[in-house]
Amino acid sequence: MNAKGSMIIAIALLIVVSSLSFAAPASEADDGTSVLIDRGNGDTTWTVADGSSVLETVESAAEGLGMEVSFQSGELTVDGVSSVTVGGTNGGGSFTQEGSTGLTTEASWRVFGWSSGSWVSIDPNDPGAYGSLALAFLPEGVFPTETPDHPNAWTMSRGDSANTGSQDATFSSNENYSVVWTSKGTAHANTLYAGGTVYQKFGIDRDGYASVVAIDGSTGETEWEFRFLSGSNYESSTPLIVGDSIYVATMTGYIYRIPLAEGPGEGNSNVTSFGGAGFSDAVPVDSVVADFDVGTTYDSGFSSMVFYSGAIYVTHSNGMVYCFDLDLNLIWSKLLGASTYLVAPTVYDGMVFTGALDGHLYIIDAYDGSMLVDEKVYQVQYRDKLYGNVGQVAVQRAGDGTYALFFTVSDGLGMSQGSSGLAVYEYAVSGNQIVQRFLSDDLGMFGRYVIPVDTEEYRGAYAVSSDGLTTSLLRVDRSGVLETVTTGLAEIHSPMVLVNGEFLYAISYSSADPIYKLSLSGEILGTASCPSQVRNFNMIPLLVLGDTVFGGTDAGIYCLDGAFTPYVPPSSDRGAPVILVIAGIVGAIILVMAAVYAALRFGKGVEKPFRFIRERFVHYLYGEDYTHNTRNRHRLRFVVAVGAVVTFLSFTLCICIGSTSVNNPVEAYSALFSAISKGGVGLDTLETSVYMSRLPRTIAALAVGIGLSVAGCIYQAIIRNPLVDPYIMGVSSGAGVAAIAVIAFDFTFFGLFSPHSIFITAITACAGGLIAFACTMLLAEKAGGSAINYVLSGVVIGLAFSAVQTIMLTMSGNKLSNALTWLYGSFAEVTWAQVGIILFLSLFLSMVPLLWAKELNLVLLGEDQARQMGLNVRRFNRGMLVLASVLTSVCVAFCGVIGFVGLVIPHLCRMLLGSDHRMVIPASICFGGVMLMLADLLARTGYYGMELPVGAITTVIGIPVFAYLLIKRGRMYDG
Amino acid sequence: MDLEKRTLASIAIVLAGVFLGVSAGILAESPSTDQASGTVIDFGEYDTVWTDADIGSFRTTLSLLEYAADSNGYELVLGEDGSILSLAGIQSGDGGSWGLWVVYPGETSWSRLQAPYDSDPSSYTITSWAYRSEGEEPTVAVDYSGNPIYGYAQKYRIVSLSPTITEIMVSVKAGNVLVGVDSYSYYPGSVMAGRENGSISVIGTYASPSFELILGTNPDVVFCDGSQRSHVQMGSQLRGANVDAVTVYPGEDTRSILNNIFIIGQVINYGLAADEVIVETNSILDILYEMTHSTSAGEPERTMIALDPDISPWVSGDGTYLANMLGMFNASNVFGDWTGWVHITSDRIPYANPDRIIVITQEYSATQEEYDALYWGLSAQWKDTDAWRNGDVYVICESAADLVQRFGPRTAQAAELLAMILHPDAFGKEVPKIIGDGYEELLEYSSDLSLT
Repeated sequence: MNAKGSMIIAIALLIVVSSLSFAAPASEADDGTSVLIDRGNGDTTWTVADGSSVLETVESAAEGLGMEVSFQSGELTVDGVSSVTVGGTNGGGSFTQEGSTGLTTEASWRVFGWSSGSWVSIDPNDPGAYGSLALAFLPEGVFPTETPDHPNAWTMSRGDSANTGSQDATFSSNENYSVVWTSKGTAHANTLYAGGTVYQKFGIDRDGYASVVAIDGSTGETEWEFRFLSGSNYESSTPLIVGDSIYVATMTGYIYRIPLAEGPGEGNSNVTSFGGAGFSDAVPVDSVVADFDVGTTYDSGFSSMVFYSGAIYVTHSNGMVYCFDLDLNLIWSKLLGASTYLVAPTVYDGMVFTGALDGHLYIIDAYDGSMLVDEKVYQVQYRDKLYGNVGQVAVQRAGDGTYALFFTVSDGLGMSQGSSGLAVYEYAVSGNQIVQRFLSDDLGMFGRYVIPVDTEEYRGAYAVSSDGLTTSLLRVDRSGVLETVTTGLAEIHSPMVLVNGEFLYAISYSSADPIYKLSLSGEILGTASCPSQVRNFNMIPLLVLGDTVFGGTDAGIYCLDGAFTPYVPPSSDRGAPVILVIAGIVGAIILVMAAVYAALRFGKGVEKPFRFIRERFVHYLYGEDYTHNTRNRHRLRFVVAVGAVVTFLSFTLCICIGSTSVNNPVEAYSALFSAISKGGVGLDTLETSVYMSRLPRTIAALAVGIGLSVAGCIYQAIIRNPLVDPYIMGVSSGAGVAAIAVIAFDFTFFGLFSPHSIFITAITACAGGLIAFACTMLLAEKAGGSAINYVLSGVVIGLAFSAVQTIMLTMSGNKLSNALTWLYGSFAEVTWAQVGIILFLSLFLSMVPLLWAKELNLVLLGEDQARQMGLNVRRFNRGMLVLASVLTSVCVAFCGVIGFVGLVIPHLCRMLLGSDHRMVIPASICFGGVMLMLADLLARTGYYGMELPVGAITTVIGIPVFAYLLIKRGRMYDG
Repeated sequence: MDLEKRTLASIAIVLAGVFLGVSAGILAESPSTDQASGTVIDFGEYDTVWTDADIGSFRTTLSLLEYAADSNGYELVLGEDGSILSLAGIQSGDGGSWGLWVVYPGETSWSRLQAPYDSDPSSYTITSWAYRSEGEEPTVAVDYSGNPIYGYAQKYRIVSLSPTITEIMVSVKAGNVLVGVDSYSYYPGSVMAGRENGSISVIGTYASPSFELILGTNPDVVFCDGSQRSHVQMGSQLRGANVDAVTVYPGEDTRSILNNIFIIGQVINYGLAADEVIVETNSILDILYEMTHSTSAGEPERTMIALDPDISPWVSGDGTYLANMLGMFNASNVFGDWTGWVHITSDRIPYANPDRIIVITQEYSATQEEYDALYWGLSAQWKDTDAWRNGDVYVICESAADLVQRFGPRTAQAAELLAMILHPDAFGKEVPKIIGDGYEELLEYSSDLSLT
């Protein structure tokens, strides 16, 4: 079988396996009825049981899970409970006033049968035969959310009202995971899942609207979207799914109810809010109901919600705990001593456990809202104010009417918290006493979540802490024995989840770090990476159905499918190594040469193809049978062709190689084109590196290289002295004085610029360079205006400005290093705003001498000869010197003084091509740009993370080349 | 082509180049100052309240203040002329008065506006309603590049380009969100450990940070040092690449150092922790001030601070951080006629005749042998001073030299060390003549400010 066939079969298998994992109930078998036990608080179990009747099957299923079911006088009782009523007599409760409202809601144990694709409420003695049954503790009219078709659901922020974060999952795939889909948005709220659909709340868009989106779990297609105006990007509270509705609590004080299947409808017509009010008639809860002396108030609005015993429990940053029925009628409210922040209250065994930003732990009766415990747990004083917080509470039954409570504590200052810790308390129902078993705020920084683990091996809670350097996984048991399970994890901010009671899934805060699958003993069993489409920061937990996993970042949510890959510690290796890139290029050249050889040898029957090529090539360039002009034309073509190829290769090299990564040309160019298509906005890391860092300075280096080489060419021709470089007219010294005046002495060009303008140094330096040249010109013209007058004047004026420069440097004190950095020359500070100026000025000014190449040749012969040929030498020289000086000033202005290029490149070109400026100038244009591009590449990558002075690099790489050519051709070269 | 045509073509090419170049410069989007949308209410002593508000919807600065007061539950009472009589229960009076200060775009200094406050708030970089006595200015609200320090989203990945900024980050308990530092940031140990285990990347040297390495850390915000030109430029480059960059002020005196701590605390929303450092530093400086001006401290000391023990050393003139501390601690600078660090002629040393010489150097180790070698090896000009004759030549070296040259959160420790050297009698203890790595053992008041 070929590779393609294997791949198709593998994909087909993957699809089949994935769809099976979606479709099959947890443990469905042919020899029984699958039964769903839904405890009415998000905690569900699928099991298989036998029985001759519905009642018998349900009894058998419950018995298998250690539950006792009885059915007497038409009333179904499970573990001694048949129904529960939440609410009591009217105590004047409202959104702003604590107390009961007189409303009640009731949940009771009910049996459902799966018929024609939906649950139907049935009598336990129902004689019918059902493929699946459900035993659920729900109010009348509410049906279980999980179904035989979609046996996994995640209906509230931490899965159940006890906030266990515990998920059941089915793993079947051994294939490495792949990205199934991604969807864009800011995911600060946890992902929910029901009926095969993902429900995600996203933070605000540009118009200030937040949204809840229903997305097909297998395809990623949007089913519906509910948009609402919000106050902030941090719409972080998680919605709640009960029966066929999703409840969305907002930071602006609303709770909306939306039908799961239909969505919000046209104009949000299906959306209702408190008391059944329509979307547009809804009135929010007041954001302030009391002044709190202790702790911070974040105005974060409603927390995440939980569902328990037929009622919805939620806290609000106004300090209230609210209990609603499913129509969003208030049942009771209770005022805490401080604001709360986003985390859902824990409701367990009829009690609401919540902390607040006063560092108190509150335990409230879930049925009537009466306060059972209000105890200060952790407070810190900053200046004159007290701060505190208790994170989400994990509760475990500890026997004898006592509960173990696990939670984190902190000063409640969010990301800027200065102290936090881990606590274990014991709560005795009789007497409503809580006793501290463990509390330490010396373990590093904790988030707001712990994860309770209640297995045969361990009973306690796990949490992650960071000491500022590394993140550790800790666990503490009921008696307060603390263990470090593992350390060295990447920074983790999102809550962990416990899967099948044996795996912990934790997502690193940065998308660059892994998503971990850990054993309870801390071993990293596998990792996955956040898909590149949504790489960003991660604040929400994973939702693990099994092979299918949903996650979210500040950039969007994603679906992965398959097994996590074995963990490999991070390495700094990114992109293809340089050696491979070079090997690729060399390989391609060898291949081309081999092809040419074969074509000539076997196609045309040439005996020695390479000798043939060389002879033809030499003949093309130097053939005696060609006229002088034809030979020159051939050479020019050759120079331009080679120059263009070398320039392109150097340019490619420069955008492929950076100090953070080495990328292959395909990666680099696709990043470049992608960045351009995005208009430079919203770029990923590679795009930013290529487009914002490598490209502008490469273009600037190219332009400055061209400018300096051409300027050097002109000076050397006019002055007829091989030692002349572009700075001979004193331009660099003048520019230096001006630049140092700006850098070290805050010269603002007589108040024309702000001190921080990115152009002030450049414009001042350019002006300084031109002033120095004007001085030189004035002196030279007064002295007769000959070339030698210009040289002498330039040297003298240059020395004068250099002296001023040195004095200024001596007096520049602690700004000396700033000034020296400029003087050394560097492209490190070039921005896009400057590139256009350098490029256009340098390129266009460099083109002018091409028109005057013949005259430059004449001048090179000597002024007298040139004059005899009819050239107004003085005027021509003056014009060219002005041009070259302006060109040099422009180059120096933005990048500082870069030596060597202007001196050596023209010589190199003359040694290679003779002294005809019709070739020397185009060649200088090509090779000057190449040399400076490569020098800048070395300057930014040569020594890890440090910018080396580019002028020194040009010299270091230029000298050996120059020395070689001097040795080879020096004897026949006279400048 | 004849001469005339070529001349015309040349001129046309030059003009085209100039036109395109200048157009590119004008059209290119130069990094603009972000407008933080909101306003500051400033109670003094770094106690400020920032209110987010869409300033585009407020026509006057006063309506913005009314909104801010309302949002924070502050009562606002205005006079007939529109001036503020009272805000949040604090009345304008003899002790100080409420007023509006603004920073104009492109500037960093405050300008005070007079009532009625009817100008458009969007024409300023930032507005601050501050309670101040005459001559005082509001708390700093823009960074060295003129960008507001308020209104940033929570930052989780922070890069520091200078050792001082790194120290400030650790001091405000935000060391755990550092993802990149310059190569000189090797203090405190937690940062070094982070560099070693790879959780903190090195993004270049202090003088030449690498743009690409900074971007490689995927930062939320990058803190640059205004005393480095390369940092100021880097800030512009980063903002051009849509990365938040904040440039702190050159640390020239205690005020600018505390301002920098405040700025960093505000930007990363670690304001309370920054406040703690500021309050503690101020209280220690107050104690040191009292002690050095007590009767047991004696007369003001005429002091010379040198960066090396050479014949003609670099010495501190007026306006340096250390010179400012001399003024604070009852001592005078014998080279106060100069400004900044000065390469002084050797003849000036005996002429100035300091009572006390402090040499800050990394060239020596804190041992008696090294001190003796330095002390006896000083040139004749140095020896012709009262300081040398009385044995009052102090050497600060090793990590203590770093301490006194980094203008960060340990400024109170540097101050205590300096105060101790200047007035050992006030501290009632023998101060070693050479102080190096063991400097922390000498500290009494500021030992809590050590970073780990």
